Amino acid sequence: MPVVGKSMPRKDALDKLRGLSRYIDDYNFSDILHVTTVRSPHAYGRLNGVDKSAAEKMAGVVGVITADQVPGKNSVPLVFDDEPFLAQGYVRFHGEPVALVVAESYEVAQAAAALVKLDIEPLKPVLGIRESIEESAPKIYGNDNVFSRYNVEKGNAEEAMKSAAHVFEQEYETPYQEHAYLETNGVIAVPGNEGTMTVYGTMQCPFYVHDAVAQALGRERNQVKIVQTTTGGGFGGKEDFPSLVAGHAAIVAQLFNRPAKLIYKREEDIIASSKRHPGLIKMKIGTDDKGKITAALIDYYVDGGAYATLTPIVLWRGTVHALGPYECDHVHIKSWGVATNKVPCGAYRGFGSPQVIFAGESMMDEIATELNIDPVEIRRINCYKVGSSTATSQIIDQSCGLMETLEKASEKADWAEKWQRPEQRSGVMRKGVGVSTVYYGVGLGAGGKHLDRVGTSMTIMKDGSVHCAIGNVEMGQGARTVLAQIAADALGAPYELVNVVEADTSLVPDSGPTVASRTTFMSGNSLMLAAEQLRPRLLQVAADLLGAPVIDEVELVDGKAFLKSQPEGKQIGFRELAEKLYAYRLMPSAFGWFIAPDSSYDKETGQGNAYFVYSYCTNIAEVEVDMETGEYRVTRITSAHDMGKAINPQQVEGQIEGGTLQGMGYATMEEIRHDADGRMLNNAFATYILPTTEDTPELDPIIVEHAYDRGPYGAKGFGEVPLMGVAPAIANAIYNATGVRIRRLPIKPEKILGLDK
Amino acid sequence: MSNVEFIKPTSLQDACEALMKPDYLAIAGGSDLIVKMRNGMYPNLKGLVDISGLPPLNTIRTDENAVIIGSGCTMNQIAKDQLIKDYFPALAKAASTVGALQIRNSATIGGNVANASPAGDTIPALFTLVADIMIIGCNGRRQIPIVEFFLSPGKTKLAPGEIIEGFKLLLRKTRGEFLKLGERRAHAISKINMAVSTWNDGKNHYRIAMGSVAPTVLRCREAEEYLESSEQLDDNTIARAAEIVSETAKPISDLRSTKAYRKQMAGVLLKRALQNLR
Ligand SMILES: Cc1cc2nc3c(=O)[nH]c(=O)nc-3n(C[C@H](O)[C@H](O)[C@H](O)COP(=O)(O)OP(=O)(O)OC[C@H]3O[C@@H](n4cnc5c(N)ncnc54)[C@H](O)[C@@H]3O)c2cc1C
Repeated sequence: MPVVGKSMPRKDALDKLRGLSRYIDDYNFSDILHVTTVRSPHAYGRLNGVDKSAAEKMAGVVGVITADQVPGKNSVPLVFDDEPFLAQGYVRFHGEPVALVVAESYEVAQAAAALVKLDIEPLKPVLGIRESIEESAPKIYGNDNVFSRYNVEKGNAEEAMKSAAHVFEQEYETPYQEHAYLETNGVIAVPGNEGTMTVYGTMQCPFYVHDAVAQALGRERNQVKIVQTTTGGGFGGKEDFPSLVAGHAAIVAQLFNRPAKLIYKREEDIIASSKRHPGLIKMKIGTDDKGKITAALIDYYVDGGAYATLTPIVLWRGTVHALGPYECDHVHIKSWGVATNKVPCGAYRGFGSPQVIFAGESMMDEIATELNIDPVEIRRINCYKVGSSTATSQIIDQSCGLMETLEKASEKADWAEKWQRPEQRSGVMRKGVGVSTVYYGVGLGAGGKHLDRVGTSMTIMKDGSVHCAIGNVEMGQGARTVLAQIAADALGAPYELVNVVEADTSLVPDSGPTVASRTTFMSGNSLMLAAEQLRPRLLQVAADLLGAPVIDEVELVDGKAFLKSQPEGKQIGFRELAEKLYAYRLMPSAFGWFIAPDSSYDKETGQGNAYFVYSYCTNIAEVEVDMETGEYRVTRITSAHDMGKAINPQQVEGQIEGGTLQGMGYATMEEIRHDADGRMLNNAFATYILPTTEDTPELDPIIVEHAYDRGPYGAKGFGEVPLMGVAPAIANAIYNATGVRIRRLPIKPEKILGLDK
Repeated sequence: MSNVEFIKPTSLQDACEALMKPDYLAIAGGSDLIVKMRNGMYPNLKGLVDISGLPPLNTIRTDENAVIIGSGCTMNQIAKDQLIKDYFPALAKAASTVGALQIRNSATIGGNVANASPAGDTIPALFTLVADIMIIGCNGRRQIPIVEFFLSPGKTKLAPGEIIEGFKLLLRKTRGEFLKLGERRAHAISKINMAVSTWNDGKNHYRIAMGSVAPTVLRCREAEEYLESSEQLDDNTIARAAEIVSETAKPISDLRSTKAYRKQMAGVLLKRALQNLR
């Protein structure tokens, strides 16, 4: 493998470094219209009308668009299709789009938006999980405020709990998290001939946008084309939300038959776009005297916000993973995604898992403390190994490097040296260490398996360069680079000649979303399928040129073909092969279509093979706490990850470092606040506090490779995992330093000192 | 925003005249003003008067027994100035904690004071150094002791047409400390900040001021007097002084922190500052 497993330079690095990459706001079209959004100032209310007259009279204003003018169906297609493009009848969260102001300039559109008068009769909003599930709560969704619920039942946990030697019971709470991608949401919709529409923009899931624009306009899929532009980060935040933004711009473009540009300001991006779901987790765990888990009862609630959007799927992943990577014969997990009058929550790196991981991994630490067991040791006792059975009774049959991540991380971090009980520590500045172990089902799993397929179109151009169109996107994670490495080696082409382009819905069929750490695995496999078809044609040409009777006698590696029997002999270069391929009139294109390995799920009991394979990790966090101010520094995080195979080790390390930092923000400072009426208070970077480079700890990534036999070169997928277990590792380290247990994120100095009220 | 007139005066007099017009504002580094404009806090703004290039505002100079810090001096300029570091360490330290490097290259001390945020980091330091604010207007100059300058958050005694020309500090060697607690290690508005300066002219003097614990920066007279009347700065004295400032602090709970935390931290910060100065 000439390039797989090597840290090849990123395809997009130089342009980004030099500021040459063009993002959506850098594009323009002549005769373009500018759009701004008028939003609900109330969390909940009856929308009696919209007075557009003053805004429409302003010079430069072209129109004000409301729900009644949506040409197609006024609902964003997703799981339940319950979110409207523009509010109609009711407004259900602070920041909900009600009208679109269309003008000749951005400034005029902004100014006119302030003149649109909304006639809203405020209603009492429902603002939290506990409030929403109360019997007496006003019903804002269905007859119980529950969007969806799941049940995972293995053995008989209620009975087993009765005979457990020790029973531990705790509640944990986790906050919102904002994605804070550098590039805010933005699109340009351009109408074409015969009712066609092209939408360019920053996004993660062009096929979701495709569905949404077609539905908003009432057009056929072959009249709508979505082109992803260089995307400045997504992290899940651009999974479902760009559908709404693109719908808005496309509606305007169609109504006025002119290109329409809609770019969000940071403040409206934070107020209106999806976030990580706040979570409430109630855990009851039974163990034997040695710390082996014998029974688990877990109730998991997430705050879905005003519309279901992705809540049902986010909840499913969290539910399945709620116990963590621990063997247990008796498990009962119940979960609820509840409605509130707040911004709809959606995907964020980890997708419903970080909440339960915080709970589960904190709980493991609490159990270890109570039973006087080293926290690393209690994981050795319980962790998955090949042959273990998960909470859904799936047998882990291969590719399980969890124990190796535990051993490698604890050794590298010097755990045995550093760990001691909090009572043994003293002084104003106290150090602590904490551990967490994580597993993560790669891909969409049994819950989303109908979407788990991807296409690739691969063409060898006349000059030998290779053009690959795929169904997943590059959003900064390095997909184009890693996939080009896979394609190059699979084909035998030189890496420099292989290019994987940004997604375009007219180049490949619906390949599902770019989420769930599925891109390297899914698109990688699909590229290999395409390469498998092209390679024999190249070998045939090479055999001919080298005078070999059969293609089996020819090798093609790294852009050079030669006789297997004479590796040092005559070589044919890739460009010459391509030229001859065309001269021989062989088909230079191929199509790959990869369907995910099977998974299964029983609706009643939640039992089955939830995901086709899992990735694993161990995090060890080290902190130093100032006992007088409660301030602390996360000094080092050691993270060992099993992702099957590191196609590009540097990219893997980059993912570990970036994800770890996001996880640190979640653990230590990030928090969305609302006032008593449900208005978001800190929708700006001055008040939504994220870590900066000054807060960055020493990061120590470790790669562990337990190959998966269905993965491209053994790779599984792991992009989300680095974030997921960081918060409990830090919380456990804080406990280890101070003896203070934080069960409600973020871990603020005020909480450590008990001065947070 | 596009209809705002931008004026670049060539003299202080011209600047003052331009600022006489209603809805015209001075702009120095712009690190507070631009943010506020973007947040829609000046919907009627008509003009900006850019005072950043006016030479007399950009220097630190001595004048007989005083040091005059021009209002247009940036945080980095102040933090790196040898005279300030030697004579007024509390101010040098405060300036060096503002924002991050890029902000410190544009943020001015005049803007920090005129913006009148209760969390402005150089303000407590200037309190402890007994600074006089030198003001110039169309009708001449006047001086106000900094402790009298602030009325409420964002409100000062500056009249229309007036500009802060600089800050006048007695040329006197002080020792000092500045400490702050924020939500992260850079780009953090203080949850609480505290400056302490001390000097000896035959007798020990202490000045203590803290921010983010009241609508304007608070001078802690009671603790100052207690320290000045104490024989020595031993642990008991420090502990008692810390208790006093904790009582003096009148904070509220807001997005950044809580009342209880701020009150307790007032004592912790004073204790640490005094320990460092011992
Ligand atoms: C990212 C970021 C981080 C920050 N971090 C900190 C921090 O850690 N600590 C802190 O204290 N502040 C911080 N600030 C706030 C700001 O940088 C400071 O208050 C700065 O000193 C303001 O100075 P300026 O020159 O930029 O003022 P400007 O924004 O130009 O002006 C501020 C106000 O003062 C008026 N003004 C300016 N100069 C004069 C003058 N000479 N006479 C009369 N009026 C005048 C203006 O009309 C305006 O009302 C931060 C700001 C940002 C954007």
